[in-house]
Amino acid sequence: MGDSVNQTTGAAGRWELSREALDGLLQALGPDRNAAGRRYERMRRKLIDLFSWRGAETPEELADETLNRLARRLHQGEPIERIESYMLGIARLLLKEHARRREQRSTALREIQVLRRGTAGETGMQDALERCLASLPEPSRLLIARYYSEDRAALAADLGVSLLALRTRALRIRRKLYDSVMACNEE
Amino acid sequence: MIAYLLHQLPEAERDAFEDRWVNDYELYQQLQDTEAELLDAYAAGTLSAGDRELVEKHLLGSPAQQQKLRFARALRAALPRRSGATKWRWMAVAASILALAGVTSWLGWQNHTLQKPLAQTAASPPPPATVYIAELRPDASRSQTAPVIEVRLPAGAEILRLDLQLEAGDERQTLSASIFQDGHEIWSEQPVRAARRPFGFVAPVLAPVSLLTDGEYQVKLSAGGALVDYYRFKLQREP
Repeated sequence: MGDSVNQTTGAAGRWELSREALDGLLQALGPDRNAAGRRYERMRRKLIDLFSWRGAETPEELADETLNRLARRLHQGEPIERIESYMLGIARLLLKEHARRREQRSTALREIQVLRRGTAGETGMQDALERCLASLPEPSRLLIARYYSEDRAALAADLGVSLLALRTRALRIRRKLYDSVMACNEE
Repeated sequence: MIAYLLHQLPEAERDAFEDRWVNDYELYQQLQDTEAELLDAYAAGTLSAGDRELVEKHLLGSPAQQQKLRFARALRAALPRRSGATKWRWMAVAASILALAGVTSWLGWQNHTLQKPLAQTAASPPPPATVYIAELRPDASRSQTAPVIEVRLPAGAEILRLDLQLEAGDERQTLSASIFQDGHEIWSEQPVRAARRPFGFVAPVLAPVSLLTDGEYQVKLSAGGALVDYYRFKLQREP
């Protein structure tokens, strides 16, 4: 969502997201611009996961392209009632396009990339995680440490909660921790 | 959710589930949690060889996914280790009790027998229902004195889904299932469509919890009138 989105037609004649189209999308997401921005980010995150879980190699790019196409449809005056469902429809079309392109390519390069990616960035992640763990509130840090190191049934009994309630709490902390670590890595 | 993440759902069911989680943020978070547990188990080396292969094939193909695995590994390295294998699959299935709240419309598409009782859930948005999933192995002995699997049904569960493990080849048959208590048939379902799981095929049978009381049950799985497999379980409803 940077400022490099001011044209409606790029050098290659391809439609690009304009400020006006982006504003239109945000307006469609809600009257409050901040809330609409948060909804936009959640939609983007969902799209990245969707493309990842469907096996796409470039989920971020595809997520951005989906949102661009969604903004374009709105900009062109297309009435859209359920934005997330419409977004999913666009994403599925992109998945099909992506699958067709992938079929045309050799898989050798991808295999090499996967092998190399496995070890890259391990140290940076560890450092960021330890920093973020240290910045967690004490009860959260303690809970996630115990969740991953103790018998979970015994821990749930000790805390007086059900096993599922314990899981929900621990994984919520894990999600926040993951988000913090990703934010650290981007800094 | 595991089946979705590991690409084990038929296309129509995958799309139907996708329609749901894209529009339901809570369900999306549950899906993220299930993925996290899969990757934690992968990082800990506690997945079976088959599941490990499926994770590698379907969950680790992009830099974004590799980053999630790096996080799981870093978490494992940063926190003290627990002894013994993580029961990730049980946790994920148990979590489905909560996570599948509202999933009846999806299950309804899977299961024609339940379409009528759940017809009202097909409308949008569906009212939530809570599904408890129990997996049963065939009882080869068919002896009443053999140990029986205990299913502890949490309070609030509305539908019990019995995933009946199938012997290889049985998934190709047209199956029907009957649940008996004290020799009386209390529920039957036909056809039962086999569903692929990472470890093999199961026949999912859905029964309304309102029909079930504490006690022992027998499940007969048949094809063309011939018995395919026999299962037993003891149900205990938690207060």
